[in-house]
Amino acid sequence: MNKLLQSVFVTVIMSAVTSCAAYPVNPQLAQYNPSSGYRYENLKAPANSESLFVILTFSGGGTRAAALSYGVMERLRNTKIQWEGQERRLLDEVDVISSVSGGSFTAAYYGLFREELFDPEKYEKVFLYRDIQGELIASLFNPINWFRLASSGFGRIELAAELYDREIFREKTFGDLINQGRRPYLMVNATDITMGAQFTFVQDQFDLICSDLAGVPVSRAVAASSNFPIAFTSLIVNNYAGKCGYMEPEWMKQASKDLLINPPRFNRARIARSYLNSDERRYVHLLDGGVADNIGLRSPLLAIQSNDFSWSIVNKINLKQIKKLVVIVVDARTDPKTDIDKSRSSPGLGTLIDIISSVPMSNYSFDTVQQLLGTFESGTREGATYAACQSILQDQCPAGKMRTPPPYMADTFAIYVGFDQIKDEKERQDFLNLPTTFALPKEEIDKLRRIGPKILDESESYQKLCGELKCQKE
Amino acid sequence: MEYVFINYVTGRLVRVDGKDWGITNSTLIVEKGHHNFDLGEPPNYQPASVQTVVQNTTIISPLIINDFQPS
Repeated sequence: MNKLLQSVFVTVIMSAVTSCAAYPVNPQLAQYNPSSGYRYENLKAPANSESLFVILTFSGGGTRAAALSYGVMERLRNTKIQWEGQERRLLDEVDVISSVSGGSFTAAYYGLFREELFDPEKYEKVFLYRDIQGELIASLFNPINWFRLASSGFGRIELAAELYDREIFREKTFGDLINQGRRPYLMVNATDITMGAQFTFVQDQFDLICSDLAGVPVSRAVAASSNFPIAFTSLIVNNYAGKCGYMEPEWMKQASKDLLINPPRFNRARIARSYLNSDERRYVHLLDGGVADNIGLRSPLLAIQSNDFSWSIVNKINLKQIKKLVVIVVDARTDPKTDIDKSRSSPGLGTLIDIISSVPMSNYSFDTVQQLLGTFESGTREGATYAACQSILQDQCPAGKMRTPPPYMADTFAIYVGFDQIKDEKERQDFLNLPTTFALPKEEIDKLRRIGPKILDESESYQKLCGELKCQKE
Repeated sequence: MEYVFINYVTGRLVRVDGKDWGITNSTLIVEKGHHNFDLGEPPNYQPASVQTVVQNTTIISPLIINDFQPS
């Protein structure tokens, strides 16, 4: 009888654990309001001028990426500049941080806790030098979690999200970021696996699914952003589209006519509209942001090229709000040596998965950086064309006048911080062969923290910027 | 990158697809494609908006829109 009672008791307890195991549901938005919520326009910046517009992008790559971006943040904090007659830190001029995967930990921690990022007792202790990977694996061996994981609404990624929420991000939500109301604007990027598209944790994205980002823990955004395929399950976001009075913005109507004129713009509208059908898309499944863009540059690049975004940079330039536009790309891409081509044997499944999950992402990253450089170069070239035409006109016809004035252009600085730029061959190879993991030895992390600022300092574009801003290292 | 110049009797704000974009009588940058231009508030001009496709412009030969007039 006793045994029977024990069995019943255990069954009831385990059923309760299983039935309670569900992911934290993102709240529904009561009423769509394009002027409230976590948006760039709602963030004030008393000590941050918009005229010097600085964007940071942090790539994926586990702790390697987090440490590299941390080192760059330390350099920006320790660099004083002169801008419009005022002295301030370069870090205080950062307007936007767009991040993916490992880089999202540094970005989100700074977004929430600011100077605490640099306190050795805080970020370094709770994340950077910690064996997060070991703790995640240990949680899988906890018998209570076996029953929780048996529930269809509780995947392995939820264990990671819980750990990050409790141990790193102190249960803070995007509502806390809204209440701070300060730049930089944090763009944590994941990938919507159905569309293969970037899914950014900002209210503009959540408007499409009629959800209130204010009620979403920041840890969930970071978990989605670093949700490495196969190791974890997809992170689920509920879609309430059609229940908040969402009004399709004008750009979507216009872009839907652009299939043969501007296919990428047409595609952006197509992807945005896909969320509006909540019958077909009741849930959005998210994986690592690196699947769509492993350097976090895609969203800022679009804001530089397109007028369609609420924080469109090209619109800010047209309005003469930006004088200098700086984009610092921190890319922890590696290039591990492989012996595949030394053998006739076909590589194993594990190796193939490694290749499929990293090589296309790296190639795409090069393409994205090239697009940024191309956009900036095209602005410079067009300006030169105008000046050349004006000069010819004045030579040939001194009384002549150009039909229209030139557009206002901002000075642009594209700065790339990646291991390929390390000059010493052996040192470069050491960094290019670091593993992707959430547990690195202390000495490797220390090296990453040192190499980020070194590459930054050696960048020609950064040196030019620093010359103009009269940088002083503390 | 495409270029548009909107002629108007005075300098005033111009919007593209509902967003603040620049000032009239200056050359402004826009992404290639279909766009809806208007002059925002107050609505003391005609027509209320101009819809057009912007492509194949250059910095020295922007698309010039002469449609807007005070009402």
